[in-house]
Amino acid sequence: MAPKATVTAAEHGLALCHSCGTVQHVSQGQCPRCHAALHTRKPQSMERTIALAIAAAILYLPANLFPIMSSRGIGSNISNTIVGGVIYFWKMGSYPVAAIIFIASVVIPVLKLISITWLCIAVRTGKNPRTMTTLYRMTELIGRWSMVDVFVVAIMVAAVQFGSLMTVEPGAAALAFAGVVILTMLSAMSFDPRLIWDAARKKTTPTHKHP
Amino acid sequence: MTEQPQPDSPVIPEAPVRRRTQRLSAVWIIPIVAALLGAWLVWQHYFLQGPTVQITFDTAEGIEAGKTVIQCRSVAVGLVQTVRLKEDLKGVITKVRIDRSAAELLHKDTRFWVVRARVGESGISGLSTLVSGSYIELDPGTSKEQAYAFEGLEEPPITPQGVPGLHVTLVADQAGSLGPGSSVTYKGLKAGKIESRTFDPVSGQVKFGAFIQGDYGKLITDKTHFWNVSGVDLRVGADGVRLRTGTLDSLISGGISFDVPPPGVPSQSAVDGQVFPLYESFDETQKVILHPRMTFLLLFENSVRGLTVGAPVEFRGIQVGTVTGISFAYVPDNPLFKVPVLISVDPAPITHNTLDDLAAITRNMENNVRRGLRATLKTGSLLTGQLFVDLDFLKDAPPAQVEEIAGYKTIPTISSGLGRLEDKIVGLLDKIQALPLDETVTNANGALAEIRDTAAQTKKLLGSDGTQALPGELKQSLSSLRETLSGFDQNSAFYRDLSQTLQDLNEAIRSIDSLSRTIERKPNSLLFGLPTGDVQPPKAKKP
Repeated sequence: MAPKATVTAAEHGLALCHSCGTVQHVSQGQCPRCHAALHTRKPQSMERTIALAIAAAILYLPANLFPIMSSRGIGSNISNTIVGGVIYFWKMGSYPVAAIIFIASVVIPVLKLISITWLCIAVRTGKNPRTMTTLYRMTELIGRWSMVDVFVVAIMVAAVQFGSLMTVEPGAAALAFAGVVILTMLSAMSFDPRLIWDAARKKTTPTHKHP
Repeated sequence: MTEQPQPDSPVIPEAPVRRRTQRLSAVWIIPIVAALLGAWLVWQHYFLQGPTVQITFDTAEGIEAGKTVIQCRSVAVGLVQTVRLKEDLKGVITKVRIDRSAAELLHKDTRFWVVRARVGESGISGLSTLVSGSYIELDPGTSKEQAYAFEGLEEPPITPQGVPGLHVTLVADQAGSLGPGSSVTYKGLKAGKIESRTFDPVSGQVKFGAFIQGDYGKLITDKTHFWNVSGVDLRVGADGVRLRTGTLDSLISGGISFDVPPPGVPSQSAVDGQVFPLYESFDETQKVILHPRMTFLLLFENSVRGLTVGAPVEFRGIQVGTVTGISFAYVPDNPLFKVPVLISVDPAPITHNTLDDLAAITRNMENNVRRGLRATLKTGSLLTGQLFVDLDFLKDAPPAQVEEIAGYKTIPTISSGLGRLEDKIVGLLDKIQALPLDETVTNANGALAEIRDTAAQTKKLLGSDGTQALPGELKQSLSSLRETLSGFDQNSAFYRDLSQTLQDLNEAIRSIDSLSRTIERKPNSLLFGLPTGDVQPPKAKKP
């Protein structure tokens, strides 16, 4: 469904101050009220989004290949990767725990990366702007929940330190996974959803240059 | 919204200030850093990880894949990756990932063993593994060669490699209470440990591997004696009761002590792996202890009465073995009924080296037999008639060699000196016995009768009148002879005539003598006579 042809603030040279929310003429350069820089759209939004998403995708590999947590205890020295942990809980019969870990640590980061990629494509094509906006909202909302895994590791490491009885240590994947979550969040934040509408608008109205 | 400039224009006016150039944004540093970080992690994981080694064990008891760690001096240096059965099901193969930092510990003689709780002769060990689980201990070797496949030890070695000291082998007849972990003491100080105890089925003896640690190893020479100090040594003798014990440790688990040859005795430092006899007690070190290694069969033609099992076998007065058996059962096929005697010989007291090679001993013996070595029975004690076997080289021995009879190697025998004398006397007596004495006596009797007859006849002859008259006639003859002789007296005419005749004869001989001398000087005088004046035979005229 094509968006209705509406008038945008940008077309009028107006911009919303990012910090205090006043609408100012963008030509002023900076907000006369709070002196923040004025931008019509988030600066270099696409570039940042793509760069951070790529970085997240790269870190996603070591995050899954390396053990995220190793527990050294009486007669055992277990170190598990994320997927290994999921399988471990599943075999133990703790299906809910396995499902939570699987969704929070595997599904959500992957979905986030996919949706960011999709949004970036949408900015180019300008198709389905409303669906895309919903997708963006969801991406921003669920993104932080991926940190559950990192929090679990952090809490375990801090709490389970019983000397030779039981010691939990973070693995190399914990750092990588935290990096994945943070980078996807930053990537989603860098994305400017208005660009979707700009693209959709651009698509419906034939190109013609500003004089 | 009075001002409506081109409502259908989608072009968004750019912010005039803070306008960035179209250069590549700094945000791209983040994926580059992420890529580098990821690459580094992967590289570290896959390229910086250490080698995989394969260790075989008899059993995988206590070994768990992914859990059991490899430790070297209680530092984890690796992890067991997989455990699987051998193809022949006679053991297990464990694949172990060794940390890269510990890869240099993998020498050819590096040893691995599973540390688990053990209660044994050498004490209780590995109690901590009851709680923490078993682990594989790595004892780095000293070899320069690297290796990646190892045979795991079933029992932990007593002494780690690389500890300075000396390894020696002690040989004894009885193991007693000695075993791995028994201590070796010197003057009451702990100097080492027994590491292994094995039975050698070839020589039938017990071999102990002992480790003498540190500087104590330098005390060991080829003249060192090792003896057993296990238990309590209680002696009651003329000088009272004597009780000797080792340390408490050696009372429980046995122990070995050693001495150092007195100064001035030439000795060489022992080398690693040198073999020493292990004596039963300190007193035994003062005696000669034999370790018979080779059995030989002797076949004696004479009676062996007086020879007992355990009797010494001597070589020129030095004991080299013992008699181990006397029985006809050893040689079933024995038409001459020679007495088979088994002896056990240890050439060590003579050759001064402990030959472990039985073939070498046999060869040695064969050579000696060819050179005249023979066995004899000799009397050890004239009072009791105890015999012993004497081995010696016989100069004019008939050629012989080591033969194999009924599976035994035999040393040829000769009769003893006494035996030979006996033989000769017996032979002599036999000859005497074989003489036809009865006949001789009969003949002699006959001869005597004849002699008696002759004597009677002579007597009769002497008693006859003619014989009786003989002395008177003899007397007459003698007086007439005297008369005849008196005719040749100095004053008689006959004597004077004879004297004159002899003088004439003397003169004649003298003139013949002068004649012969003249002829010798001037042979021509025979023709021309003696020169009278200066008459010379005329010279022959020249032609």
